[in-house]
Amino acid sequence: MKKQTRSKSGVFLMELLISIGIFSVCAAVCIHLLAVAESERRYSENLNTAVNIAAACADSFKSGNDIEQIKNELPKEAKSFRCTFTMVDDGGTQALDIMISDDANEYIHIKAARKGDTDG
Amino acid sequence: MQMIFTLLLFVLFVALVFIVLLYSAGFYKRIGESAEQLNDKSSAMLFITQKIHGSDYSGGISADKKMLRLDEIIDGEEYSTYIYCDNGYLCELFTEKSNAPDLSYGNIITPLDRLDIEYINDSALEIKLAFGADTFSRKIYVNCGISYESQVA
Repeated sequence: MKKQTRSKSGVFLMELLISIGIFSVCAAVCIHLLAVAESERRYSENLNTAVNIAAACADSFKSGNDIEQIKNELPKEAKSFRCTFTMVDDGGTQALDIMISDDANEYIHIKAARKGDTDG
Repeated sequence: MQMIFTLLLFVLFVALVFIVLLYSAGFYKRIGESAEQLNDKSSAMLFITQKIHGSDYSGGISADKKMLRLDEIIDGEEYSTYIYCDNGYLCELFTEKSNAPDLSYGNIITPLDRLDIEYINDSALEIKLAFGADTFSRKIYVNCGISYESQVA
């Protein structure tokens, strides 16, 4: 009778260990997927902020502000990004290359244009 | 002894399942909420920006601290579109300019807790949106001028 109990508990233990093993693998995959989802969420949030910053800069440029003014008027969210501005002036049209990035990603790269006779 | 060990292991397993399940559910909920808020933020800001740029002609845009009025002429009749925040939503009301607007009839656009408008000069406005404790702002520039009124409605 004793032998039978031991044997039953041994089988249960084996089953349990196998279940824990399978569960651990599933949990690891699940946590990995959650980490990927979190990183995607952050990217999406940063992209949204970067688009907002770039659009505001393009607006500012089109209204006649120069690069220094645009830099001074950057929203507070821009502090966590690298904002690069390059002006191209071909006489008739002024174009501003706006690139918003951080150490890991380049989020947006747009060009805003205005007539060359605008101040700045 | 072996039975106690097995039972302990089983309890540990159940506890682990429970913790992972709770953690995953909480995490999934946070991601969903965050995506929804991000969507609300960008929808509200895009809506206001597009509306302002769409009315960028002389006399088209008027603002006070809480509301925008965009005027247009259709078939010789003057109409106004009011954009404002009411009862936790960004709303839009389109009406004849001569009518006193009843803001409770506005169309709901997207959830929004507060809309603040800062008049910078006659070609720039700063739109500040609040979603709970989270705020979001953007300067909007126009070419044809913005008139500031103490109360646009």
